[in-house]
Amino acid sequence: MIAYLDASTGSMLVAAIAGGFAGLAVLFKFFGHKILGVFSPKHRAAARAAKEELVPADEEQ
Amino acid sequence: MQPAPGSWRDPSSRVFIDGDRVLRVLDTEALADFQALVATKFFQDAVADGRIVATKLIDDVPSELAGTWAGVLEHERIPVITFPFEWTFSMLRDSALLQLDLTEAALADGLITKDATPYNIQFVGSRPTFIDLGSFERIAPGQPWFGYRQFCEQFLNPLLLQSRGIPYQPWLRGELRGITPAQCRAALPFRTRNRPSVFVHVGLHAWAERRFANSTGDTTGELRAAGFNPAIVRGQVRRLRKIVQRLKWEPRGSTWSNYTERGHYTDADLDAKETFVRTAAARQRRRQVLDIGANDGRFSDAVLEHADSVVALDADPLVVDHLYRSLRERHDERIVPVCMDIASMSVPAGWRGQERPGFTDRVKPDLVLALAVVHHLAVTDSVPLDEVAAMLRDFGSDVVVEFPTPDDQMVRRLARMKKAGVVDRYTLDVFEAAIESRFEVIERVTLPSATRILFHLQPRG
Repeated sequence: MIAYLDASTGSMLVAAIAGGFAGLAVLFKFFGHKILGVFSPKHRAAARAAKEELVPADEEQ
Repeated sequence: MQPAPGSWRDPSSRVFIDGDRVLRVLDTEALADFQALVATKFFQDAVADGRIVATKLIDDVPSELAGTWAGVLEHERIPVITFPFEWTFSMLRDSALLQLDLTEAALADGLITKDATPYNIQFVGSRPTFIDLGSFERIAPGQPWFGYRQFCEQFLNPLLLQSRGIPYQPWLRGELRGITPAQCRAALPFRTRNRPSVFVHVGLHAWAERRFANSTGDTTGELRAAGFNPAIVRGQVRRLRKIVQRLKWEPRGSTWSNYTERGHYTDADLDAKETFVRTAAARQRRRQVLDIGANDGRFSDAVLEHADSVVALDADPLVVDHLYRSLRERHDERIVPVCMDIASMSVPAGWRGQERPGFTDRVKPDLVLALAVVHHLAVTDSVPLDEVAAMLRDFGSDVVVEFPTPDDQMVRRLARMKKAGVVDRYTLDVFEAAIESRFEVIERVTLPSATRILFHLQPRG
């Protein structure tokens, strides 16, 4: 999915909030492992795995 | 053939102007998007009621375009091209609602608009029409609305500011990309920006853009994985529509907004003036008339029977807003209201100064009306009469111009605040010398009250 407009991450997350409850649910899923990871090593590992799956390690800054 | 300026940002489609024809070329993907669009009922309905420009796929492709692109479309030509910084609040608001309506209708048929800019909308008379067919694409699973940020910057934020009394036109004229959430947040009063519906798009949006500015992740992919779907986009579009619908601009009145009463004219003067204007316009069929200082559009109306289209220009946003709303009520499709000060015309802007051409590159009248304008330019703006005549000559067309003499009560009112030097050079002799060196006077009439003189002029060689 390639867009010619530069849709910033922040804009896209706000767009999800603006989409109502369904959007909030998606955001919770998006950030869920990160949020729950504060309390649980299992979720911390899941958050890391999800990130690595989407962003190859060598692309990270 | 060069692509039309401003049409090359989206690599899958370009616009070319070929004489009188407006052609849009599409690559393979864009052609498939167009075919999906044409198959929908919403598109057929929107073209039928004029919300989308009439368009057909053509076979007689000009040789210069043949072979390179997968398909070529021809659009109906828009008589006058105007830009959002020349529109008023109601015009931008109606355009925003059109953008949202079309995006929502497209979603129901598995399509989406890939951007959301008022430059994709033009006014045919008072009817906003969507011109960028290349903006519709088939929606991919989990795809967000990439046009959201642009919608905020170019529609929502300008409207929010205007609703709080901050004119957006100068801002959009200076910054084609629009007004960022952070700028809008800084400019809006606390109560407006913290209304729950507005807070998300302005305050939270500004914070999120800053917070995630250096994010390197694939947010689109992550959102898709988290279950993002078109129903969320639909919810987003509907909420935006509610906000836009509720926005109002209710200024207390401006200098010229009650001009309809025209207290400083006698009925005899107005009738004589209208007869003169009608007769001048009737000398030949006019393709485009430019009415400078149109106010309530009385004289734009007067020439309409002899003209294909009229550009009704005025510098006062409230006046133009009233005119737009009254034209819209009667479904006028030939008078285009434009908000611009003739003493500060829109200049070429954007990439290489070509992306958004200046006013005189877009508006090519064959008759100019300058009624009750000269004294404002010469006295209020201190423009020498010779310069006023030169400006009128620049259009290269017939001109009907009104000259109020220095005894006229309006001239005396304007002159009260000016230095003697400005007022002294405002005389009928100076004006006549200025026009006679550039124009042939076809007709000259003094109105019954004797302080206003009308000229019908034809440019010399």
